[in-house]
Amino acid sequence: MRSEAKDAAKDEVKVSESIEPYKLWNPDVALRRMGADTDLLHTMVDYFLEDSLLLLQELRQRIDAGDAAEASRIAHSLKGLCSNFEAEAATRAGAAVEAACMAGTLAEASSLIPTLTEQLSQLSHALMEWKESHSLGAG
Amino acid sequence: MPNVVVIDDDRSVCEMIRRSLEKICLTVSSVATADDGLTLIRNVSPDVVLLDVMLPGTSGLEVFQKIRDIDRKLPIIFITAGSDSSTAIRAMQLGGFDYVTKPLDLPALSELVEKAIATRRMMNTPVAMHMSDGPFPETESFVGRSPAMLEVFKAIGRVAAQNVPVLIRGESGTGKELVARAIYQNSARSGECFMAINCAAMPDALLESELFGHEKGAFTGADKQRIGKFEACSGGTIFLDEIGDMSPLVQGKILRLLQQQEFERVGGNKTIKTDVRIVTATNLDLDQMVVDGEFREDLFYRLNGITITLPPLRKRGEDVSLLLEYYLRVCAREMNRHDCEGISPEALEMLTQYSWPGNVREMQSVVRQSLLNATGPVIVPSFLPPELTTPMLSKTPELPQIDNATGVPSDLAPFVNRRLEADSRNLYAEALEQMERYLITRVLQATEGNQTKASEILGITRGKIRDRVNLFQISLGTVVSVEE
Repeated sequence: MRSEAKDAAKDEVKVSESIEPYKLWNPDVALRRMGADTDLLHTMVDYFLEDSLLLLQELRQRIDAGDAAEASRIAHSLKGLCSNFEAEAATRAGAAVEAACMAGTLAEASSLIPTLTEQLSQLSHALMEWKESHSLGAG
Repeated sequence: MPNVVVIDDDRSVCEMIRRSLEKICLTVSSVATADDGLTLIRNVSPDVVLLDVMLPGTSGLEVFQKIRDIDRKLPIIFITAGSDSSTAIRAMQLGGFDYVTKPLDLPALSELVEKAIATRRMMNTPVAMHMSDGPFPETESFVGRSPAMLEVFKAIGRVAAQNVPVLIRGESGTGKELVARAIYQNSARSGECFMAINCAAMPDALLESELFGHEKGAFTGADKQRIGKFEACSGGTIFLDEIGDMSPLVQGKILRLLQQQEFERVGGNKTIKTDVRIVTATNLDLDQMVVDGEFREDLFYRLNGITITLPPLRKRGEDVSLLLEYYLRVCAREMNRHDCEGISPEALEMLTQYSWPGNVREMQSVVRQSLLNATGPVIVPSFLPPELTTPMLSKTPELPQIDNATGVPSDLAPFVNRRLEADSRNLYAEALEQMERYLITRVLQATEGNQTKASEILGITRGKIRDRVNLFQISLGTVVSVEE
């Protein structure tokens, strides 16, 4: 499932050349918050790559089904996943969808999904790059 | 091993918490739903619960109330998104232990969980008072049958049930926290929460915020509203240790709280009513601090209404043998030294003759060190730590190297090396004491013995400086020095 999720994440990556990967998140602060445990950060990256696309897919379905409460909870979870990496833009995009769902304005929430999708894709790409350049055991 | 239950539907949060808390030897169980969490809490009786405010199909607040129905004393720490603290604040007002925001800061979370576990232990471990010849109770005990300790036990019995403030006085290591816990456990408030705060352990501004809470924007860094201990612990008991180290501002707020049971959060205008019993403790000479204008007289008389004074161990006569027997049994069990049979007459003579400047706390450390050193079933003099076998050492502490520029002992390294070689089991406290000795001496030297200036530089009260001057036998002349 993990590799499928990674493949799916790669498929959705549409990174503009002008965006520096590390501006999408802050590995130093994220690592400090995790008690300087690089192994744990690797695990969190794996979790993000596995869960974010599934959550995004579920979020779309809930919005389409008019289930504002559940859509809001899922958007909240996505926001939390992004905040683990100090990924400000992605966290903000998740928060905007959450707020719209909480307000019951699902049409607005739906209109915000492309931005969230784009942010999640960019973040996934940046996290994968970090993972490849910081493979465990390589120091 | 203390155990922690995490209720959060985000598996990344559960995993981060598990990995972080297992590093500090805690057992962590995680569940994703409220129902599973409540079942788990009933089954494992955890020491702390970490609860997400946003769970599938329910709110954290609802779950919080259900957990309180199972165990009113269980410390619950809320996990909330940074922007969504209103639910957690409401829960804090109802008696939650604290809350943390996402993204989680794992080192800070570990520290908070350790604090919650200590609070849980203080609330739940009964403090027994042992004064007969019968077997020692299995719980944490107040051991003693000297007239001075019998007076303490009687005083605890007299004041516990009365809803009045109590001031506990006594030297460091005499067991002031145990008295506070015994008062709480024998009071009508024993079913409510108990919180202990060391007033000397944090800067004034932080202490004020910790006790009274603050409003969003009250000061730089106050990015959200925070509920203080006096609000969160309404209905319960708050133990303020080292009360002599409070700033005049906090003293004033505590006085008002004692008089009217009301206060305002830092930066707030709204008056908040509470209902807490305050138990305080100090090892400082508050009477002298009042004379010197460092402690409010009105607060002193409010706190001093009922005072329990703990005697130093050197004045407890036969209690020394009784306590040695007790701690030997407790420590032997903790350290799996089931072969330990007792203390030889020669070693017992040295132990009973010792002055115990660190009181009961020092005795616990000495018994542990002796058991570690012991290669046989009986503690003989050679197994005792050096401060007992070399009496001069206890009177003249090992001084580190001299800083040539100032003449003040400064280098910790040789001291630490010597204590490591001696297989110390109390090195953290010993090293802190060496550091403190140097710091106070050096600053007093810089201020030419002026304690007011020194207290400004150090950011501590003059009372504390005076206490350390006496403790470290610092000679206040034109040139300040540590007496040899």
